[in-house]
Amino acid sequence: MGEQRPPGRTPWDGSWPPGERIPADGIRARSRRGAFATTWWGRRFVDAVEQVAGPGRVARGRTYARAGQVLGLAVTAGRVTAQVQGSRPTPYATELGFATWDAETRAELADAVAASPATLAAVLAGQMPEGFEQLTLDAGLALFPESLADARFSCTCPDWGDPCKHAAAVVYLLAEWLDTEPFGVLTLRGVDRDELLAAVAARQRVLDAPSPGAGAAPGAGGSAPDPGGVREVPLADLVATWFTRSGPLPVLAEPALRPSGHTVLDDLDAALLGPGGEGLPDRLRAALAALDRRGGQSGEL
Amino acid sequence: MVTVHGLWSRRQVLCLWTDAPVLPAAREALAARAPALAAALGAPARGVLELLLPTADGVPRHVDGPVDAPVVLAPWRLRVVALNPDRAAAVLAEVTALGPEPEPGPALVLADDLRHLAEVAACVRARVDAAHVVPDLVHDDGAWWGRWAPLPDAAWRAWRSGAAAAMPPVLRAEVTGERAEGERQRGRSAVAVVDELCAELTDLLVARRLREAGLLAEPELGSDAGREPATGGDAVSAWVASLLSGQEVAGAPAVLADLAARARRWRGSGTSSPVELVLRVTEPPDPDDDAAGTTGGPLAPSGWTLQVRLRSLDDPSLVLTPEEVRAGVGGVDWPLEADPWAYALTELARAGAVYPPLLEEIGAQPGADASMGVQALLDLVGRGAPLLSEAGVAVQLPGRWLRPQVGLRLHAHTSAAAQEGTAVPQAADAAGRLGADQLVEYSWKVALGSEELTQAELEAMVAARSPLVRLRGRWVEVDAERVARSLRFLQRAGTGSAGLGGVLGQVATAKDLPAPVTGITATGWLGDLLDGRGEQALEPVPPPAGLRAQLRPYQERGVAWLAFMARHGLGVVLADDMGLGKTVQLLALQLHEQEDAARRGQGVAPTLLVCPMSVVGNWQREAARFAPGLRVHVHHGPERLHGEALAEAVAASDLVLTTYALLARDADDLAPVAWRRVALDEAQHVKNPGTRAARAVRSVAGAPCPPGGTHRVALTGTPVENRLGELHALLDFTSPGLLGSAAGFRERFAVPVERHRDATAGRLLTTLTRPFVLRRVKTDPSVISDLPEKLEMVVRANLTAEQASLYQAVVEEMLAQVDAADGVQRKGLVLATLTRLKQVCNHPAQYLGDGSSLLRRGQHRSGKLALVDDVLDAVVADGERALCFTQYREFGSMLVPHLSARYGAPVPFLHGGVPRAARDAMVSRFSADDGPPVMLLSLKAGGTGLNLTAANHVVHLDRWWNPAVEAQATDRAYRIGQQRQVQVRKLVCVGTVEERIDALMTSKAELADLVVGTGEGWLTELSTDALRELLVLGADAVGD
Repeated sequence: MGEQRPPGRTPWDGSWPPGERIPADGIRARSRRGAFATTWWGRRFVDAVEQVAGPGRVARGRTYARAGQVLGLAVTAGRVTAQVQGSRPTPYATELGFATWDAETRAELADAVAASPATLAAVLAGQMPEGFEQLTLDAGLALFPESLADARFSCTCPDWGDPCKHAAAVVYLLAEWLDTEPFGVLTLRGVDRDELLAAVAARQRVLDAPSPGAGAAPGAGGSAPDPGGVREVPLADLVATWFTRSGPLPVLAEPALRPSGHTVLDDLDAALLGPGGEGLPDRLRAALAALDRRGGQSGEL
Repeated sequence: MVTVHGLWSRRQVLCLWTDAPVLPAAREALAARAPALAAALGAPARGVLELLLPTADGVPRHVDGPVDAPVVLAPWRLRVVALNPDRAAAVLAEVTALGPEPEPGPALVLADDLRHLAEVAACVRARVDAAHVVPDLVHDDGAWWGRWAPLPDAAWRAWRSGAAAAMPPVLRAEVTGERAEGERQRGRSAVAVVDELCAELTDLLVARRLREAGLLAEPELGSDAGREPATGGDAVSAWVASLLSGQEVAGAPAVLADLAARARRWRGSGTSSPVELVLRVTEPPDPDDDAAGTTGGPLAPSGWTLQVRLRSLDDPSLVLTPEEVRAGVGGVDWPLEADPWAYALTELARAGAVYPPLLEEIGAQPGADASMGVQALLDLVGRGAPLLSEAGVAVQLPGRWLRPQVGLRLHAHTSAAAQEGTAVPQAADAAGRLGADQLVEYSWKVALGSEELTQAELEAMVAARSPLVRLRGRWVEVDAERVARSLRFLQRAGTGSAGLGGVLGQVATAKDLPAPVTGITATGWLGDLLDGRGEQALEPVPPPAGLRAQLRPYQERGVAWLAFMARHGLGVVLADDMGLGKTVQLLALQLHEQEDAARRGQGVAPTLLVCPMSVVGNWQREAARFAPGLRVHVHHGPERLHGEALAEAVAASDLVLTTYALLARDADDLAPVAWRRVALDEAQHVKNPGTRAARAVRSVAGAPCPPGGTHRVALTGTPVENRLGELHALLDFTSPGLLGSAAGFRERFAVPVERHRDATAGRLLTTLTRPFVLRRVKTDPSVISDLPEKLEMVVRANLTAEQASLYQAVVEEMLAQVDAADGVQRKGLVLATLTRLKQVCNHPAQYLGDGSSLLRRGQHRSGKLALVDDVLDAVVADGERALCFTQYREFGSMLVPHLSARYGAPVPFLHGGVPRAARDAMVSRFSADDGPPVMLLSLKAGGTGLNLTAANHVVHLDRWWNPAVEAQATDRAYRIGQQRQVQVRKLVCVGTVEERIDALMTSKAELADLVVGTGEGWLTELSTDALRELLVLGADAVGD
């Protein structure tokens, strides 16, 4: 990468802080002053970072968050990735990693939630009831990081602080995002929304099913947890047929022919894409028309 | 025998390996049919794949089969040929093409794993061939990319699960270093393997085809532009750009992550749910219906429940739990990937986002019943249901749920004594003061909607302190506070007695009513008045001896009503249609009161009648004609009296006439008189209460008053009920206080009725004012029974061929010129054309003006004239007479000899050129018993002022398109004095402008009044096209 550095200054020249931040127009914090997150679950992340970061870095992190220095923020399972504009022309890549729950732990979460579906619905609706944390604690799960010392910070900036001000800024914006997306707390634990829903539904199915053993704890005594509802047999049980198909590939039905000028995208609800989505089917119409080989042309390869 | 294996690695490459080297001869044999595969098998195996393999005695196995030693899974590092997706696609396609034979070449076997991957790839190609692909947005290698993926419809997902289930286990056995031991034993998810392979191949195939079609920009290697992220105005544009360029998607990662999440839901939206979430409120079990049915009902018990259910979109009566949906109850076929319960929970979450109490307080969950308190229920129904419906979540309430308005109703009862007064007594009581102070008993009631509550029900309801109560077997949601205040109001002011004005006045003026007034009812004569039946129900007044006129029945009823109201001291507005005789009714009232008083040896104070100057003379003459016994003093002109002299003159008079202008000027002279009555003619003149005249009117009508008070009368012929401000002004004079102040009236009635079309306010206003306003129109049933019927019809004539060709020529001539003309010129052209066309329709001779004869060889040249002959023949045959109106003097002149000859009598033609004396002679000769059967009149000269009731047929020969002018002309025959049914015929020619304008006017009656009613000028504003449409000759114009 052809990164340019200010003349006479290297990331490792020890003159920290290395210079003035370059103004940027990234994500603007909603909070203009005072506390950042407004919900209790958002506060937990702010509190956690403030415990471990020095007051100077915390203050600068707030300033960065409010000034729009954070250019982008993406939350994926157990990971927050962000670009933060610092004092160098190329934004720093900042990353926060959280300990994710393994499949067994996720199954325990599904067990706990299955007993209280309204709580899960509330989380999905954007409100985390106080009872939700208790519910996870009862199941022996730590929903929130005790302190951000548990989290892994990485940043391409030269600051040796852990976390640096860039990471602090990212946590502030993360907390604000969590205010409206409480499920993000679970995402940071590696919990996938659809997977959890499917798992809870599977437990509900057990509860619903009229069985003589009603009352037995769901999931108890079962074999492997069944997060996606699809049974995955442990490999060790399959050695005898290691290279053999268990059956023929199912037939994939040939899709019905469409009226000319009509594409599969026309059947989808473009409103779900948000702004600009309405025009998408038209913009890709020519491309999809170019694919269609069912007008007598033979296949390739 | 060498077995060829294939595995789709996490690194998105196809790894090929064999359990032994492939001999060159085998490769060559294969090269003809599968060149890519042959080449791959000959390539050096540079790749490394770590794989779990069944291991026996420390030796990995490459084929399944019986073995003696115990078999365990152990990781092995294999040397493999790694093929990028491009080459992998080619190899997999060849494998498919080789067919199912186990040995495609000498000493070569294709393993199930490789075949499985090839068959999956074939299905991917079929999907691409069908263009069943959708854009995806994926995060990879630190950046976002637009990619193509299979459309995840129901068929695809079912196939994918099957493909994953059938997969040979080895395909899940790739080991990567960082995996924990437990994970390693579990292996990769089969679905993930299928998904990754399909996504990779789909994107590859689509991109290749787009490049072939020139739709995908070739990557410009080596240039900086090639490394620039795709750009675009917004995230979607950037995404599309990436799909069509293969470059990175530009944009803030957070925005793209959000778009990726949206895109995921979007891709799944093609498969719609067969059900929708429904929140069903169910009522508690009936406590005991009989007891609750009659009394106010007990406190609403708890036990309301909220059920979260799924409702079939095909059959909305099918409401199911998720479990029932899953089980296929009701034949619901579930196509979604998510479980019905998960679907219900997601939808419930959406509902909870717009109405949080659903989850937080009620704790709703799919398939279960949540119990609710009354407050939670009411909040759900009142606040939540609208929010939820707006968000598309159905809320089902119990069918018997009512939310009626709390309203007050006023009941008034007249005392027995007053009811006797229904018939005006022949001898009034000594004091003569029944007046406005006569007491009316009233009581207030509280109603819910249209149901009036008994005192017991109301008390029970208030005692329940619940906004939700059972009333008469139904759940009723009420404003408890308002009900409580209404009860307190009833306890404080529920009953009483007051003057009629005072009782009714409470409705409009009271500021502290706890609820809106929704009805007024009364018994006895007051009930009749309130129902608008007062005039009909009253016994008629014997005709005054001094009246020199025969009152028509409705006039007699009017006089009885006036006398009744006067006797009770109630001011009135007499708003009969013009021409129905308001003057004579008022004069009759005067005489009636005088004769009544005279029988008791009493006198009556004089009446002041105020009118516009133009009708003073008319009043004077009418009084002299109909009531010669009345002593009339005219306070008018420069010689008018003042002070003592005036007072003496007034004292010696029964009726004093003056004008609004003089009343304002001489109020000081007129106010001290104790008037029996102040009557305002054309009372709309004082509609503005701020004017001097209006103030003078109020001061003159005020104190001093004679015993029995000053009776206030307003006469007007304009329909006051449509002009609320005017109505208020009139009633403010006749019945002060009834409608409150002008500002309050505007707020309470005028704005709600006129601006918001508030029917309740309108009804209330009607009820309040109806007792005091008498308005009969000519079409009132009660008046119609006094006047004969009028039958109006449009009669159509066809054009003759001669007329048609002339008509066409005129239209073509105009159309040729109209576009070139503009402004005044165009206007003139259009009007002239219209005139010519109407002349053609009347008669060719009229248009040509050549003095040619009306008939040609005994045949009619004009279809319209032929029709006129037919109509008049029938009239004459019945011994009846007809008036024929035309707007064209020359047409009338042409008809005179024709009609005179036809009916053997000189037919008079009254037009503007006929001198006054000759006109009078014509009218009287026509009215004579042996007069001519037909009279021709020009619309202008004969349209007004004449009384021609000898005719009971009216024929409008041509049209002026002004309904008012035509009606006026018609009224020459259709007026008082007419004894027979009147038939009005309006003649138009078929397929011509006459017929079209007539149709236009009848179809848009109100528009016609506004636009067309002003004459023919509007035609000139039409566009050329509209004109052509209006004027051009229809195909049906010519008969025979």
